[in-house]
Amino acid sequence: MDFINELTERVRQQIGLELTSDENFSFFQPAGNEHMVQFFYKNLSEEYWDLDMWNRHHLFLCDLPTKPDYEFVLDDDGRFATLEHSDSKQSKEVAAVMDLRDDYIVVVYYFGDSKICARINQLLKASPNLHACYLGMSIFEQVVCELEQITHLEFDFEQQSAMFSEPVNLKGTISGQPAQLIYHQYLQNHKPFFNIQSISGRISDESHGKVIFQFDGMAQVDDCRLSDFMQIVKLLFLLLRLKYKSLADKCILKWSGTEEKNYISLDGNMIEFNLNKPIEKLEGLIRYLVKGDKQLLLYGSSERISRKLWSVKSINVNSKSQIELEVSDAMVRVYLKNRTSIPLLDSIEDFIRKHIAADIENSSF
Amino acid sequence: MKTVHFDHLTIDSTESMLKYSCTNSRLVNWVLRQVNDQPGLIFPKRKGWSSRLKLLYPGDQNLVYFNVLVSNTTELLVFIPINDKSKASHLKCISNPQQISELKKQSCETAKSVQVFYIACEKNGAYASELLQSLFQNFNLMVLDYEKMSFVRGNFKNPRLEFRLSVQELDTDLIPDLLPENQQVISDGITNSLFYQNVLFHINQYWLTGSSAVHLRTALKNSIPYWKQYRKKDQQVIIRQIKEDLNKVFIECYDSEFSFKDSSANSSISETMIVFPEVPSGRKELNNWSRKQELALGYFRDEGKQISIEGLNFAMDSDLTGT
Repeated sequence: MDFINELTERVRQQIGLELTSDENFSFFQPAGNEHMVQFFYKNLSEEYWDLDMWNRHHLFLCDLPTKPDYEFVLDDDGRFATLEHSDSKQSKEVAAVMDLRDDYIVVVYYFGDSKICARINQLLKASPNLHACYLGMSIFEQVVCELEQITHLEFDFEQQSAMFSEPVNLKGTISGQPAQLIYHQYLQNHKPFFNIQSISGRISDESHGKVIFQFDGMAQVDDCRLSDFMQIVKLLFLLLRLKYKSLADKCILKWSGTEEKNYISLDGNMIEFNLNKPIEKLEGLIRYLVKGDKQLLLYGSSERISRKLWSVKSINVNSKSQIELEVSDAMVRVYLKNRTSIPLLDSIEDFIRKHIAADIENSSF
Repeated sequence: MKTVHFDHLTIDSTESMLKYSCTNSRLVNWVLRQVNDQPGLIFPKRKGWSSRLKLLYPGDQNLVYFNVLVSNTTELLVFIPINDKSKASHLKCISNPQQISELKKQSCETAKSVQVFYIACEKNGAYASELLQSLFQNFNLMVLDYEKMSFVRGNFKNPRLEFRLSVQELDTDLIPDLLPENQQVISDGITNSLFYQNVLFHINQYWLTGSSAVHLRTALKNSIPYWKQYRKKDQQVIIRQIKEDLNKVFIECYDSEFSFKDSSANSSISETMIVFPEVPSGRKELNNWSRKQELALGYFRDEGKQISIEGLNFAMDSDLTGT
């Protein structure tokens, strides 16, 4: 059984669904038809990885920020956790299954009242051990292929005068019929400035349910077959797992001693974002990377390496994770020193796509 | 021809072009950068290439040589950076057949072909060539200029490598700073401040994650990857020098809120520790610390023993354009 099939089975079990009721598009009546999936990167520090799976997941759940009226409880086998409410009324309104099996991605499946789901999800996002996965443009382009028609589009691009003498802004929200046309036109004609935040559309099953994808790793659907939605979840899971596994396995830069101990060797790739249009005022970008800009919250120092390259070494004020960068007017190079720096990489990519160039190329993996 | 005078040196230039000059670490960084899977690099990891680095002391002096071994199962390539401080006796010692055969034994016993490459920056190219000619009949010398690394003598035996090198597009200014500068040979403000930026970054890591103090040796071990390869006596000298330098900035830039204390790890060894203040609680406080660190790095930049070639180039460009 593949990974997502097992999750589907656990979801069915939690809802109490029979196999046949999969054909019922509104399978979670009467509490509501919303189904939401949030993908998180498993941002665990070294101490967690020293533990066996059950203890690791148990400790992870203990460390989640919770409210007194509910908690995630680990299954006996330590692979999934489910939401339990102290108030039985609420358990009819919302339920959730957290899939903890993968080493890189945590999938949380919510169903029920979308407002309550969103509230619980917001709380999970505040956990330092969970980082909402970042959907870049290439992932959006792939999931859009699963939609019969795009019905809603949100995009947000705003260059800063600190970095560009003539900043370009391209932000907006488009709903209804024109969304499909605008998506394709902008992708073709304005790609350097077209930074999608959210995209919605009808999925191609008989329910014509509406699915929403958000840049911070969230997919939501109001009405469809569980199995159809799970196909979309599977695609997103595979894309995100590939991305975060590649980052964790190949892009952590580490010096290590060889067997003879007389030699050291360097493992891992740096990550390079190549900017198709150079930044006009490089000092402006460097200020954002070291002076605690609200979006990045990075504090650090910058030093010039050569005529074109600057070294930036910064720390995130919230997570205390550290990150090293090298920047030139046409490139941002990121050095990850451990797995817990990966969320900072996402913040930097998001910042670049939102404020510098939406069509950056990453040639690293 | 235009001549530019600085306090301690005179440089002749033809129009705006100066010969490219860089430290040995930068040459090593060029080699290390080539061992990866991104397009356009010479030693793709997917083809089995890997690299190793070693420090060599070919004499009684403190002059340290980086030695980079790049190998796959059948080939071993040894890269040795040389500069104007290099001496014939050093190169003779590093390159003697016994030493090379030892390297082969230690790192790539299956190698059927072993080649040694000396690498130098453009400014030191002529000196390196003369030095090597006085020692060897045949040698491979590669020189890094602003736009390329190229052979001035010899070549890769492997034609694939030769081809990849010949088509490589390179902007020397964008070579990544993978290997921190060797503190023993720091000679200008830029490398000095880069070195201390790295050291302070690692010290901050201990401080901001809640430690109340850290051994200076531990912080250095983490910030200099080849720390363990320094001779013990050199480690002591480096620690003393760095302690002295940091002490100045702790007093002048950090208002003595960071300080040193000597602790006895056991009865015979006294270890220097850096004692930290409270972890900053918010953005405002971090901002203050950030400013202090900026001051400290400015101090290291200005305290550099001489102006760097990059500094010279900027000065030269300005001079020539009359700005």
